[in-house]
Amino acid sequence: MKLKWQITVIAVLSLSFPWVVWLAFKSLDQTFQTSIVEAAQKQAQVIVSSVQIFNQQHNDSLSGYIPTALASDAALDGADTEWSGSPWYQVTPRMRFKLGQIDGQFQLLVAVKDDSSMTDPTGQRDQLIVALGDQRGMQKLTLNRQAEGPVIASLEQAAYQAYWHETADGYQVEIKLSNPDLWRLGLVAIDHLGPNQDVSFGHLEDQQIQLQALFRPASSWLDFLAQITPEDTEINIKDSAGRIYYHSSNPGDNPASIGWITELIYELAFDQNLATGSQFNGHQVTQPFPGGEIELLVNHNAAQLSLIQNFIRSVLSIFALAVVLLVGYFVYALILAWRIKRLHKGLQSVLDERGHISTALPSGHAKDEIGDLSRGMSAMLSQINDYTEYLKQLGSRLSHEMKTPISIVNTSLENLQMEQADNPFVERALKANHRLKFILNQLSALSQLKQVIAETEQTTFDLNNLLSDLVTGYQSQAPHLTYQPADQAIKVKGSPELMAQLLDKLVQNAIDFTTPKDDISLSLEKRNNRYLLQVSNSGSQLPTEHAAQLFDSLTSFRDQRDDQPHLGLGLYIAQLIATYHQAELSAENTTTNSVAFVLNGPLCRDKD
Amino acid sequence: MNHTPKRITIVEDEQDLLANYQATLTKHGYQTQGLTNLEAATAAFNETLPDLVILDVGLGHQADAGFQLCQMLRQKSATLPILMLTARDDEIDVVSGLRLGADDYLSKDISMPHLLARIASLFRRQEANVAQTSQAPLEKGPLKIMLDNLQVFWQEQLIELTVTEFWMVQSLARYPGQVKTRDQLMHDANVFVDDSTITSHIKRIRKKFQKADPDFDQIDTVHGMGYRWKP
Repeated sequence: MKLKWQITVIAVLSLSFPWVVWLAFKSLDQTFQTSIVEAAQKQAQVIVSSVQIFNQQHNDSLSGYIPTALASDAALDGADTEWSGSPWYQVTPRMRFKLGQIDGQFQLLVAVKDDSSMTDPTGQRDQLIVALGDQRGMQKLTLNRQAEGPVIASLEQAAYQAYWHETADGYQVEIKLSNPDLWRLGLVAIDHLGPNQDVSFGHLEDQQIQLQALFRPASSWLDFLAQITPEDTEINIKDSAGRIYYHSSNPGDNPASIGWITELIYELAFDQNLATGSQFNGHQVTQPFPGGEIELLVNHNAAQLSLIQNFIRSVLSIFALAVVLLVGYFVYALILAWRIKRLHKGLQSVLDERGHISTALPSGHAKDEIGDLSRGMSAMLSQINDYTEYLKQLGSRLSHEMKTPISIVNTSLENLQMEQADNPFVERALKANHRLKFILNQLSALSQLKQVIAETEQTTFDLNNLLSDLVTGYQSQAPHLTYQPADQAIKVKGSPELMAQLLDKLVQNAIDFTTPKDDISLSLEKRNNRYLLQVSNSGSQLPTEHAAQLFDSLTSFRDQRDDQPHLGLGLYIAQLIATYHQAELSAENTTTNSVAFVLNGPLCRDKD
Repeated sequence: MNHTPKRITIVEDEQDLLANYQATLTKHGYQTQGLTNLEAATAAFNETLPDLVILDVGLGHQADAGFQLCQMLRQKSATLPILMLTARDDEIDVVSGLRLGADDYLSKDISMPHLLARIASLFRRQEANVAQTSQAPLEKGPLKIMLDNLQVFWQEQLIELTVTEFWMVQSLARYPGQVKTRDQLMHDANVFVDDSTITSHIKRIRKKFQKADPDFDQIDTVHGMGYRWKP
């Protein structure tokens, strides 16, 4: 796992601390809220009993039809769309109605199930009778069944407006009444089934319309409720369908209003059950009583609200701190990972194209462990550098230091030879010394070449041209050499002199291993973005068991011993030059008793 | 051999090597004087100058004592043949870069016969200068090779070549267009060195000519074979 991810995991784990704190606050809030609800329920119990007692003392005055307030622009159209907040009063299975009030005026919506429409204008027809009672007496309105549309009231009954609406299984009539102090109501529908055959239903008893009372709030109740309403509490006394008889509230010290953001945060962070309503402002407790229920709305007082706000503030600040820490951790991880990555990159590019080791690494001045690591690696690199430098100079130093003693041996032997011209021991000693000198010269030549390679500037040249030039020289020395040039210019970056030296070595090698009866073939071709230069000759094979050491220095697998010692530096030098050209030099036995040396290198990338 | 033996002073800090050089030279009829340090050499040269001086570049811990002596000697005499022996190949570059006026630079591991041949040719060059005898010079276009005093002129300008370089130029220019291998050049110049030393000799020769004529481009490298003088 990458370092930055490791640290990220640890950072995320560190979020568990604010999470635990949040859980603690949440359960604290839960306990707090539960205690408020329990207290409210006890309060509600007390209020219910006192309301029941008061009700009994006042002749069960919690009864009657309760008109619900309607929107003042409710249209008179027989439809029940604007009545949705008002529950039905079911009179009989076939008749139900709703009672509403707009600006003190009563409005009725009566729905009757009667799928046998009788609308004969002259004879019998379905009728809806509305009986209204007030202090002056009783008034009876008779509405005849008619087609969809406004009901035209007869002259003596002008105190109402109505709209007849036919439904799938009957009709629905919306009636606007004009008498404001209505206190009793009776509804009867007459369903004519045929001639002299009709059924009546509604507020009927023994074929007499029974007027039912409407609910009228009493000031004694209001006073009583104002007395028993606790601070920061609202009481609603409702009937079984939820219509409100009485409402009473005691706002107490009005708490400062709290922003919706705080409420939203509270909902998200503390509310156990998001499906229920907000607990932020308080709790709602309902207690049933015969004939309805009592609803108690307990609002949080100022102290409770500030406690909740403190909860929120604490949790928020701990979370903010955690997020800042988290971001800090992450940035730190990124920086750390970046520094290590930079060090890694620096280490990879320590060896430049020419084999120089650069000892400067990133983070070298940092005082932490990465700085130590960088300095440690720099120190190691400079040691390697020193050692490489030492090795590079070893050859020339060695040859230099040995030159003087060898010269002494040589001059001594030569003097001796002048005196004893035919002494075979002197002869042999001179021969051996001569070889020693040759070896030394080869070694110093090699170290010189390495230096030349290190110092040579790279230029772009055409390998195809160079090869054509060289082949002329080679062929004068080895007439059995054939050349297959590339069909286009092969632009290569490097040094033509060094490249020529490489080819000299390969061709010389081929010449040494062949007789004029064998073939030496040279070929150059372009393959994709690379070139392939092949020098192959027949008549010899590579020793397969030594293939890996073929290009090593001081390794020679030649059988014949010439008078000139062979150090096996040729292919090593060729390899050095190939590396300088970023090319690969390889050798293999081809099937037909021949050997091929292949130089595979990149073409110059420059367009020009 | 002349009836008055030539006096050769050898400055070399290696006693054994010095003794061997002296033995060889004495055997071949030269009168030799061996000196092992800078002070002794300075004192001796202030007293009298020999006919030829062989200088080792490094004397004891003084890595460039030979250079100082060479400079001093050249101030005293413009014609005294000076032969410098170097232990390190790259010293030749340094020495020639300093333009100290030595007549030749040889590697210390030169064989005695080669050293003797070189000394003989230096004396010959000196004598030719003194005697003003004229062997017909070799002329190839702007190149004029004075075979008797081992001098080379390019476009009438004297090119200050060492004896080794002179023989190489002579070997190349005698048959223009013909490729001379490194072995042939070594043989003609009477030196025994490795290929890369020949390469650096050729480089130096080119530089010396280019100093006189920046457009000089007469010596071709024939890769894999050697060098040739452009016809």
